[in-house]
Amino acid sequence: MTDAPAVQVRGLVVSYRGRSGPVTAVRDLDLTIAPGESYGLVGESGSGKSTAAMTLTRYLPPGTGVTAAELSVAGTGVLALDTPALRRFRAGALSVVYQEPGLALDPTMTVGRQIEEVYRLHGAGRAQARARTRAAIERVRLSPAGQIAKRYPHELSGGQQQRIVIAMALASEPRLLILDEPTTGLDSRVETEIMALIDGLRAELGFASILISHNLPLIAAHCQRIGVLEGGVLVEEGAAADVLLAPRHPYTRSLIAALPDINAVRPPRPAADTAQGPLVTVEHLTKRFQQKAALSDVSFTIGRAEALGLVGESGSGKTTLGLSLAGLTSYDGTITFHTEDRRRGRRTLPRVQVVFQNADSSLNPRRSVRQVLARSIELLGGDQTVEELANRTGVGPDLLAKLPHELSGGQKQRVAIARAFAGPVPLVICDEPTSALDVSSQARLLDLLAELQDRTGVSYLFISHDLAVVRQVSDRIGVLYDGELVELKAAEEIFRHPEHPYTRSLVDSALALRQAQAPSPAPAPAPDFGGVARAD
Amino acid sequence: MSVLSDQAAALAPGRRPGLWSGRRSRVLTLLGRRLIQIPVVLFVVSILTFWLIELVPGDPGRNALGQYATPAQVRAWDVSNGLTGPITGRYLHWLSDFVSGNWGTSFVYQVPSRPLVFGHLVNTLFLGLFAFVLLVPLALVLGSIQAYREGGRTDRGITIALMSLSSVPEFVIGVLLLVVFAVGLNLVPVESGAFATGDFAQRLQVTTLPAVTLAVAYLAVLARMVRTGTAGALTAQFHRTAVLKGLRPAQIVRRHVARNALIPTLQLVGIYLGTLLGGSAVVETLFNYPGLGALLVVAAERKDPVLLTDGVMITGVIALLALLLTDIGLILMDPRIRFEAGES
Repeated sequence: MTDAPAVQVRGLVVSYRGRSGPVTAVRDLDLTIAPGESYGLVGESGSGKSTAAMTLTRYLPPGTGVTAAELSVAGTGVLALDTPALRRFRAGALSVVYQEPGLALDPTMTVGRQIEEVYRLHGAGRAQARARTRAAIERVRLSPAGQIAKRYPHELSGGQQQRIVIAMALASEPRLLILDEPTTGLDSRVETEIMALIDGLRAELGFASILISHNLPLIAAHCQRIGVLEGGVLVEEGAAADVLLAPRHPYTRSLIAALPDINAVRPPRPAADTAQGPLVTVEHLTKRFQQKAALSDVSFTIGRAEALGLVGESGSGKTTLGLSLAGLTSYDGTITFHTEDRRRGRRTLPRVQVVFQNADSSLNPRRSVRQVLARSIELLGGDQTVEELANRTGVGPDLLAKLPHELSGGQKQRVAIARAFAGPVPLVICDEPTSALDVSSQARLLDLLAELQDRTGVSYLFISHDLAVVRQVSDRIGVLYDGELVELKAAEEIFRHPEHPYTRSLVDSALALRQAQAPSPAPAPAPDFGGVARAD
Repeated sequence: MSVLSDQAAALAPGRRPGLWSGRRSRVLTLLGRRLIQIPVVLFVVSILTFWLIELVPGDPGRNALGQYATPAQVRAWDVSNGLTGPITGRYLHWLSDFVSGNWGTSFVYQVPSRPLVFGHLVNTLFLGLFAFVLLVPLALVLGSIQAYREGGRTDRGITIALMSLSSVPEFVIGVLLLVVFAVGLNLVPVESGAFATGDFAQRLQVTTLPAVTLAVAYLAVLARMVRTGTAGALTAQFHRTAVLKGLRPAQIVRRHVARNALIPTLQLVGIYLGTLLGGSAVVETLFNYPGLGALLVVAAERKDPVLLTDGVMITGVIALLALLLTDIGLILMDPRIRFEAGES
């Protein structure tokens, strides 16, 4: 029993009901994971990686068809279990760490009680469960455990919530831990800490793990073996370093090529920008939420046709800064635009447009793409047709008649960008525009943004927690830490001479993620996976 | 300066741990705030009521003395009953009387207003609570059945039945019930009034039809709310977490579904509680039930400013207390709720 592989899958096919007949999400998958092994499943959204992993728990939407020659976890044939046995299997053999810990935890129950529940299920008495919960919370390095246990999920940060989910998952001493994009919503430093924690706990407790992610460097750094899924088919499998450094399948190569290149700096563009003076001057910008300062005394300028990158972890005030510039929140201090107001009739046309992280919630679900764009052209006083705009921003003509829910994440974000460029607006704020996208969509979108800037001479404020992404787009980079602008210099300089300790830690973890998978060929600079990422 | 890790951030100020999230302290904070807010709201309500009554056509003196009284007599009656003079002065006079418990005499009934209002209030509370006790469990059962069978035949059937029921006005339902149970089957008297002051069993008997009518009127919307809340909790990610923890279905419902499903419902329940306890003019009039709603209808019809102002104030107090009760319930159920001003 103990020698049984953690996962043994042969010939797995998963299909679900689509609007036009059944859709096959996973095709003929074979997968074997040894006890204690760390396995990584990588692929873009819709590649079937989450479906494949969730099939192991048999938690799938109703109407999903699963067939397999063999599907067992730690020696238990999952498909043959009846309801009570399935429940015991879920309670004992495997656990899941979810993508959004804030949603995975019950908001009305203290986190301590949610962990206790697992111990109680395994027969512990009330006092015993409480003591073990404390120990579990300490094991995921949260302290003081007694106090943390009494908190509700919303009183913890994203990283802390994920630690709680991990503690809860490991409470049942599972043989297999499924990690479903566990760090996607977290910033890079917290990501590094969480992944290190999981690695440490695996070494200590000996469970096997499946890490599901679209983030190839992350998987390579934390898994022994990698499987690459494309359209539900396992196209490549092998040791982590082999797959990353010597990919055999063209799809894997394209994934690697699409990674934001940590060394690729935007080529310097004609420097006519500075002659006219800055576009926006921000002086002593301060914003308080009750007694806590979200921004304190931030001053900077954005030049004409400049892309200013802004990095910082969640809660550092970077989104608040964007909202202040867009006029969407109140603030103290001054923000001056050195432009003439454009008017149409009695209405002043907006000077700022924003591309938000979540295109899903920023597009009206009941309006077609054509309606959305036509309205934006009207509002921003543009002089182009919907077709011209769509063509310029890479929104395919076939998408114009569609509603937002019929679009992929990348397509929605393109529509959001097209909306921002519907008229001649001097400043576009991009707030984490690619965080929800997989690497190849991200790469295409970043290219589009750069191209649009070269063509229209717009200025960007580009907000992200991912230093590599920011570097690809930005001329200068500012670092926000705890509401203060601690550093602001040319993109290259930030990497070469980070001064502030926080900037250093950001640069280090950005480099570490991309170094971990390989003994780096050359000493100093980080290994370069993809000079092809940007053709220009 | 070292970089804070997210463990250390746990103790950073700004997030409020421990004592502040304690339920008791949040309830006390709420009570403190309401202690100030409720009198302010009542004050505004009293001003509006006083001025609005002034605007409504009709003359209490003429009503009291009949059509044969001379204008001089009517005028003298108005003066002796304090209905003349500047409105601000009369309002302040009324306010000091009201606060000190000296509520004056109803013009219509020629009895002191306070016992009259409170007598009817007791009847209305009885009816309202009865309807509430019928309404809430039924809505919970129907709504959660629908959520667990979402999209199925049972769900659609209940939806259609409830929507049809709710589109029938309450006086039609009341009349139908009267025709069937009072006239046809002779189970209850047609007139509630005479028996509403009898012993408990008798009161229960005469109050049943009005209570059912009221409950039916609010059932559809409340059941819909329960359905939406429960369906939301069932599709929430924490529900998946609970299932994959290997909890038993009963444990999942009790610990993870029920509370989350009820939070949106509770707010509506609170509003309905206030409405039901404040008295329904239509249903009480229809069944001739001696409640506050019916009393206010008479007071408005015959322009009895004393009775009307006092009755409206009491209705306001009841509604505000019901809302307070709801807010306390919400605090006990949802740890995220804070009744504090300012941005969050």
